[in-house]
Amino acid sequence: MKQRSGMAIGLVLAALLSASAVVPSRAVAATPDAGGGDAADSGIGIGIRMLDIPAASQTDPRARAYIIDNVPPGTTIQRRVRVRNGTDTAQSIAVYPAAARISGGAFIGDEGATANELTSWISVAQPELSVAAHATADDLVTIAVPATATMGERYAAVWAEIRSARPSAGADAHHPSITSISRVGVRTYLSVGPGNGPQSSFAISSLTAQRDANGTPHVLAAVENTGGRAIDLSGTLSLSGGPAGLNAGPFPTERIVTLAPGAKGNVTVPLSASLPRGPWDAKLTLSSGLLSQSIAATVTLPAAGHRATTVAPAGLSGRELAWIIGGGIAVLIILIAAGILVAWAIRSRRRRSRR
Amino acid sequence: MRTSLRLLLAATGAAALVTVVAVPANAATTSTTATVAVQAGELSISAPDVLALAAAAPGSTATGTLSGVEVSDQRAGILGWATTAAISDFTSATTTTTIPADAVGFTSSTAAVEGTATVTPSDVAATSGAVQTATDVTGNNTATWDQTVNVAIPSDALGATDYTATLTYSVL
Repeated sequence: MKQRSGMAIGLVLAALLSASAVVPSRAVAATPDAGGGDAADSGIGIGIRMLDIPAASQTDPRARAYIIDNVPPGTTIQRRVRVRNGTDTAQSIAVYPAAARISGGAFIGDEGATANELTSWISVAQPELSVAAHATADDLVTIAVPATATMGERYAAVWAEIRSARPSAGADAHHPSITSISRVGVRTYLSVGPGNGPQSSFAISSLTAQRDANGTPHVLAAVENTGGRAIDLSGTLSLSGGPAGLNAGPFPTERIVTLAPGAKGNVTVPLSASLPRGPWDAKLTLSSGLLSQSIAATVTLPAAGHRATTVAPAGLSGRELAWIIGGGIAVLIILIAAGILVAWAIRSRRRRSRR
Repeated sequence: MRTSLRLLLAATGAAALVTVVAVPANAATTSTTATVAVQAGELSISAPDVLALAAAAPGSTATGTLSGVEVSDQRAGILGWATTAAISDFTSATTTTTIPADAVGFTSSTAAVEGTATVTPSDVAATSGAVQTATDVTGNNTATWDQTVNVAIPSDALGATDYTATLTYSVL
């Protein structure tokens, strides 16, 4: 027991280097997944999946993976989740909601069981699940939106969590250590409002070609969430009509950019350093779930050593189109009114002069 | 037909209509969202393993590596995922002192990826942050990497062998 006394007093953290440096408690890898079937032990560690999705959004890939809904105040919704223990031992799995936020273009789950308004509405039928090795258990998540809830979208995550046993028990009860926790979550985007809720929409306003410090070219798209719901944007950029008729791409976006309603952000598409400068006919398509937008613009990559060139899209954006149509109608009405006025004035003058 | 009879009929009709309309309206308030059962794919992360740090003197850095952290995304979609690491302060029960978590940094190896996904490691110099981010995902994918945790021990730290902290891996 007094092995520790051998350690120098100055030692602050002393421990064994992870002796069991192997992939922890994986399911036997020898059993290949038969085309992603629902074999109970086809996964690793701890897993979570949704069992219910709203009938109205069955085809929306986001609704299959996340809890996404719009409900009026005073409504209760329920979703089942299936939690799987992929380890070789029985586990006690904690299931709980925690706050989440959209920040810096990413959906971020806060640490621990941080609370926010939405988490106070979420309850889990069984906060502690005892799951045998390589087995699953279902849990029921209930979101009770109070009648006093104000409009707007709120974010949270429903987590399933397992903790490592206290390390090296027995040999030295006071061994310095790090307790590890693995948790996997389901994002929750809950909008409160009447009917089917605010519309989702976004606009791509410009493309910027630039080079980073290493000289790798990027195309940066300025996007704005113009709707009332959060969006998760990703997509591809295709280049065509380049020098000597070259085509390139499609190049995928660097990461999924999550934008809260009204938020602006940049979607980055890294390109290959060996691309000629152009000019290129660039077509960027971004989508969030079933929502999709494209813009086309002529892009010329900045010369090596230069920073950026911004171009407006070749097509007209929705807002510009609205101004053109709306403005056109307004001008037309004014012209017609003026015409009538002039005609009336002329006629009345003639009548007066005839008399 | 008497006027009173007409009025009565109209009133009855109106009452019947109200009843017919009111029943579904009531039913709708209990649950407005119809759901269907689906076999959605699963997102999972490897079980937590013991992370032990090598001994370190005050003023130096203690390092430990967790091998084979794995994330498996079987949701068959295009949604990416992000794995974040977060660590609490190191506390010792014997000296009742704390080594703040802001002296902790995470470095990740480049992930071995199966399936179609771009998994980008990022080093974290704060108490929490994304260590691996999967984008450009098409269908099922898995990523495996080694996670190194560095703890800068303040030079005024008190010696103790029972410093403990909690390290959380979250995949969302």
